[in-house]
This record gives sequence, structure tokens and C-alpha cells, in this order.
Amino acid sequence: MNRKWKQKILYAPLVTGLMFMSINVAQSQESGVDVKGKITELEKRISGLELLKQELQSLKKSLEEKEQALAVKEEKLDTEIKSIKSLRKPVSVKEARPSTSWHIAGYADVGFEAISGEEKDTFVAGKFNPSFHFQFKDWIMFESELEIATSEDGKTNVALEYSQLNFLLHDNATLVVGKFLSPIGQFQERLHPSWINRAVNMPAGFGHGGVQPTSDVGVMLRGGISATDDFTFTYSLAVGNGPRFGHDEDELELEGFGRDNDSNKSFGGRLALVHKSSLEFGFSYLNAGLNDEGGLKPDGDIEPPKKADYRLWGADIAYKKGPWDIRAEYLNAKSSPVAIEEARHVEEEPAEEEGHGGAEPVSWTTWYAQVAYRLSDITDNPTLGKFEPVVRYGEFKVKVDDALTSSSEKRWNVGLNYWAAPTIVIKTGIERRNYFLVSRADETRFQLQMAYGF
Amino acid sequence: MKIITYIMAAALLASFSAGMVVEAADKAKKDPMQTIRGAKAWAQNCGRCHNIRAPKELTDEEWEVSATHMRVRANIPGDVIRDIIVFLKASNNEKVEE
Repeated sequence: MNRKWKQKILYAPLVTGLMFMSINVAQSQESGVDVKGKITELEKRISGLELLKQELQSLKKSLEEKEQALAVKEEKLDTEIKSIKSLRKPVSVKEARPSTSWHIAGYADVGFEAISGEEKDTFVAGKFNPSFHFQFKDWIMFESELEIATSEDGKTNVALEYSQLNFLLHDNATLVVGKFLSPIGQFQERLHPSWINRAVNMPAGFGHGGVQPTSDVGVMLRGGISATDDFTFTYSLAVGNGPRFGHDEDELELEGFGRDNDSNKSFGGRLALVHKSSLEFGFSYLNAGLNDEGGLKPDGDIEPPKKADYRLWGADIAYKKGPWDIRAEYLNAKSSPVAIEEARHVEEEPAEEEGHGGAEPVSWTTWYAQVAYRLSDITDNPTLGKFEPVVRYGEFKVKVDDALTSSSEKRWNVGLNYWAAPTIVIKTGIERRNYFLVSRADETRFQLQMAYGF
Repeated sequence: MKIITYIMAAALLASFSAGMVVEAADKAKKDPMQTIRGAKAWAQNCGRCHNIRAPKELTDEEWEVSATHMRVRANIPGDVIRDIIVFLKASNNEKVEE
């Protein structure tokens, strides 16, 4: 028994070892099968990856080809865009300029006036003066100004101030044709608009019934020449229909007439020197013939024919610098009767008879001096700086056969202006008129005016 | 009548040089000093009769017409007026923040 147990004990490990070995062999047989499967699977995957790699390479090649094609197209498009831009450039940079340009300007005013000795304090309707400017290239400009005003009896009066064609012939010469403002002196042509005039009214002797011609119809050559670096010479030389006798013997009609009543043309103008400091000297001259054929007048009187020579000369000076506006002007005119030649048809031989007709020798003189000072130069206060005191004094004398008429006067103007803008002004003023003839009562006017230049 | 004839003859002679003036105007456009000369001329001439108007009051086109009107009215030489117009056009623009 023991021997059997001993054999059993000895064989037991052997059997156990064999058992383990058989188990290991079985296990190794099983794992060998798995590896083969995995290898096969891996081989399949590798071949799949190879296919993918080939596909990717073909796609990459295709993309590169397309990119190249796109680059060529892009370059072509860039070239085309540049060529189109070069074609469009002149159109987009420069706007087409019309041959005719135009501009509306002008001025308007309203006011209030009280006159001493009269209980007629009144609002003044003032004037509306639109002006129209049309310019064809740099050759011709047409310009015209109307004056629209309400009369004392409520009617609307419309007058043509000027209507002229300007031919811009040369830098130093412009030919003006039509109805133009008189170039005599400085006030009428350049200072009379209410937004420029420093006082409410015109100086004595200017305007209706005065010395200063207002306009004429004819031709005028004018321009400016830079004589030196410091001086500019200016000229305005005109030929026109000229003035006519007025209704009263001490008055002339000094505005432009649409037709002349004789072949005598007026000739005159103004020459001036302008210094670069804005100091200006001017000299004016006008020569004309006056003629009235006479006849039956509307009031039933028979007026004899009359003729006269008319001569005017004047001088003016102006200084406008900074806050200062200083001006002075003198005008002297004479109307001298001319002998009238009357042709009598006696046996077809003309005979002459001389006479003075209905004309009397008349002389007109006027002058004024004016100083205006803007306070902006002495104060930093923006409101105070817009105020401008002004003083003007002038005299106007009319003589018929050396006898002063009732319209002769001395005139004082004292005023204070407020410039709301460079072209908008509110003017207040006192105007004192002292008449030379004691038969006419002196008067004082209190004035308020607002003017707007546009 | 002789006076009128003389004036018309002078005007015709002057008109022949008008083309030269236009050419001169084209040349002047390229002058870099024109704006500076224009500013000086604007200050010297435009305030002789009335208050100076600001460049921004009118557009470029309106300034051209208005300046030509003043060229005639105030007897300002054409080359001076062209300088003034260039200055006014250069000064009437406003910078706008975009």
C-alpha cells in the first residue's frame, strides 16, 4: 500500500505537469489562430489605406490643377478690371461742367421813419432787388437787376435797374452792352445797395433830382490793369443815350432811356488808381447834349424847344481797411443853354436865327464825407464787436442863373449799425437836413432799417 | 459816331486775344501759388466796397459766376479774379468724418 501510495505520490506531479503542458499547448494552438486572423485583418486595412492614399493623391493633383486654373483666371480678371478702371477714371474724377452757369443774388430792405414836424411816422416797405447772373463759359455774362418797391399809394412799382451783356474780351477789358449803372463816381455803381450803404439814405444830391447819373443805355469798355505790384489802374469808358431835361428846370432825368431823342451821345466814365492798402482815388467825367423839341405839354402849356450842353466832373476817394470805412466824393455838373438853329425855308435858302429857347443855365454841386468804424477792433466781446458807428456830412447846391433853389441843403447823418452777419445789417440813424433857403423848413428824420444782401 | 467806331474796333482787337486768355487760364490751374495769391487778392479787393463774404456762403459754381460779376463791376483784372476763384473753391469745403 505504501508502495502504491509512494508511486502515486511520485507520479502525481508528473501527471500534473503533463496536464499543465497539455493546457498550454491547447492555449498556444488557439492564440496562433487569432494572430493569423489579425494579420489578415491588418493586411486588409493596409490595402484599404493604400487605396485611400492613392485617392488622396489624385484629389491633391486635381486640386492643384484647379488652383492653377483659378490663378490664371484671377490674373485675367485683374487685368480686365484694371483696363475697365482706366476707362472709367476720367468720368468718375471730373464732373461734366455745363456751358452756362447762373446765380441769383440781390438785396432787400424794410424800415421805419419818423420826420420832425410831420405826424406821419411810417413803416417803410423798402425794396426788393433781385439780380440775375448768367455766364456762358468764360466769354459772356448776362446780368440784370430789378427794383420792386411799394409806392406811397400802395402800388407796386417795378423798374429795370440794369440789363447788360458783358463780353469778357481780355483779362484787362470787358465790353458792356445794354442798360448799365452809371460808372460816374463810386456811390451809384458800387455803394447804393442798402446792405452796402452805411447810412439809411443816400447822400444829398444822389438819387432822384440829384447830380449823380443813375444809369445809361449804350456801350462801355471797362477793366483793370495791374500797373505795378502796388497799384491797379481801373477804367470805365461809356457812350450812351445820355440824360434829358427834367420836368422842372433845376432837375434832369439822369437814368438810361431806351431810345435817344437826338443823335447826341453822352461820353464819359471814370478812371481810378487802387493801392494795395485798399486806398482808391477816382476821377469821373461826363459830356452830353440835352435836347427838347418843345410843343404842347400834357398840362396844356406850350413848351419852347431847348438845347443845352451838359458837363459833369467828379472826384472820389475811399479807404476800406480793417474796421475803417472812409469815403468822400465830389460831383460838379453844369447845363449850359445852346443857341437853337431854326431853319426857315424861304426860297429854298436856309437862314439861321439864334436864341436860348426855354433853357436856363443850371449848376449842381454835391459832396459828402463819411466815416464808419467797426468796434470789433477795440473789443473782444462778440456782440459789441458787431456794432458800427457812422457819421456822414454832405452838401448839395443847385443854382439856376446863379440863384440857389429850394432843394439845396446841408445834410448830417449820425447812425449806429449792428451787423448780424457780413451781409445782414440793422441800421439806426438820425438825419438832419438844413436847407439853404430860409423859406424851406429844416427837418430831422429818425430812421430804422434792416437790409439783407444775398 | 467816331468814338463808337473806335471802341468797337478796340473791342474786336481785344477779342482776338481772348483765346490766349483762356489758354493762360488753363496754365494757371497748375500754379501751386495760385491759392495763396488768391487769398491775398480776396482780402485786398473783396472788402473795398462791402463786407467780405465767407467762402462757404456759395458753392463752387456760384462763386465762379459771382466772381465774374465782381470782375466787371469792380474792374478787377481777369488773372486776379481767377486766383480769387481758386482760393474760394479751396476754402468752401468742409471736412466730414466718415
